[in-house]
Amino acid sequence: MSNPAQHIIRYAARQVPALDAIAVITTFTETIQIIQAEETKRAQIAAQRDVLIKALESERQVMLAYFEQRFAERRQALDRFFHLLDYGVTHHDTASIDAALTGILGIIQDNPLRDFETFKKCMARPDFVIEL
Amino acid sequence: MPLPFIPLILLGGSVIAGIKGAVDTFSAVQQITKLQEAYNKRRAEYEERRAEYEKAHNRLVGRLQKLNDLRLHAYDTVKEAAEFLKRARVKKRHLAERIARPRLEQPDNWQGAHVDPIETFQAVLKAGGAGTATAATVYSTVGTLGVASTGTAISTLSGAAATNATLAWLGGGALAAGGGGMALGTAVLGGLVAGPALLTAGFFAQGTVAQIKTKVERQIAEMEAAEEEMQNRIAEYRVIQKRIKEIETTIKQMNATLTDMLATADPNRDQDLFEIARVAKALAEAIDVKTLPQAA
Repeated sequence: MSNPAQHIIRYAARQVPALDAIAVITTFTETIQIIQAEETKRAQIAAQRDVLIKALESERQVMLAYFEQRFAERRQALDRFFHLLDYGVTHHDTASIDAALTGILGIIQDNPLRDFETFKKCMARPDFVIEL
Repeated sequence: MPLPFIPLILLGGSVIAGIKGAVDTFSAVQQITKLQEAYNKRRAEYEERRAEYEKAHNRLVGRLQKLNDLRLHAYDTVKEAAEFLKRARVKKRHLAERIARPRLEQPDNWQGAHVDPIETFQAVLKAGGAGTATAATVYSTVGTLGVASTGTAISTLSGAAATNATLAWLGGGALAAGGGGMALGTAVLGGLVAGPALLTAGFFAQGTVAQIKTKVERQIAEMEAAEEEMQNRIAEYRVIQKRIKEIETTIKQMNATLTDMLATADPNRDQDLFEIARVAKALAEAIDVKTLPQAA
């Protein structure tokens, strides 16, 4: 004759897919651990997001301010050279024409957009300070 | 004698556990629905920002096209100057050949941020094993506590007799003894299964909610970062527009100067011819100036 307890357990095991008396407690503790781990992850995500967004905002503001000033200076210089060109053409002053055209070409052939990469590298350095 | 209050207590506990589990599961479903709504709303906002970015990109492409049109127009003036100098029999007649036709430029295509759609949850319905396991454990415990209607300890029985005695005990005793019998015992066992199963499902659902919440917050954080990246790209486009405007203004002014000079120049006057050649050459060089740096 088999042990009655074993028989009952076998019978129960046929009725249910698993036989683990502490499954409820295990699931409960696992759930608590999951919830805590997920809270930690969310805090980390929020912190990383805030740092990244702040860095991008800062980069954008500094970049716009820098190029605003850079292009304004170039515009002023170009205006002066075009005045000189007008003067040279009007008065057939070869020296003025040459100086004006050399100045104009010198400015526009110097592409300020090259500064983008330099600018980004500088912004990536924590010790970088820009003076505007 | 069976102990009828023990099955009742077990059943009562199972009912309470079941209610708790059902409440937790229902709450989880509601939370997940809200998370999905929050994600969908944020996603729609992100798509609007992306559309704005696409518009800014298209505006830049259009502006570059206009600049190229202006270059071609100015190039015609340079050719006109070359013809003028050729008719005037200037020695450096190869001026026109020295002017390269400007290449059209296009900004690089930005692929943009891509966030995969949220996975719908299915795990809530996976629970249930623990509930049935608990019932099985109770069922086996009865074997050590209960007494069959014959007065024999169930643990001393075997086979169908033990099974029937156990079910009868859970039913409050045999029908002959005034209890609910095996039929009620089977129902009680079913109730014992359902309660813990629901309770476990509730726990599992809360864990799933926490994981989905993290996933949603991560994707929303990615969208926010991608939006900032797009804002920076739009800012770069504004800077590129300034560069385009600078080149446009320069070409327009030089083109206007050369056009005026061609209109008033004396083909027999060397000074006029030289000045036209000088300005035409400079205009050709201005036409060739790149808007974007080579690396872009």
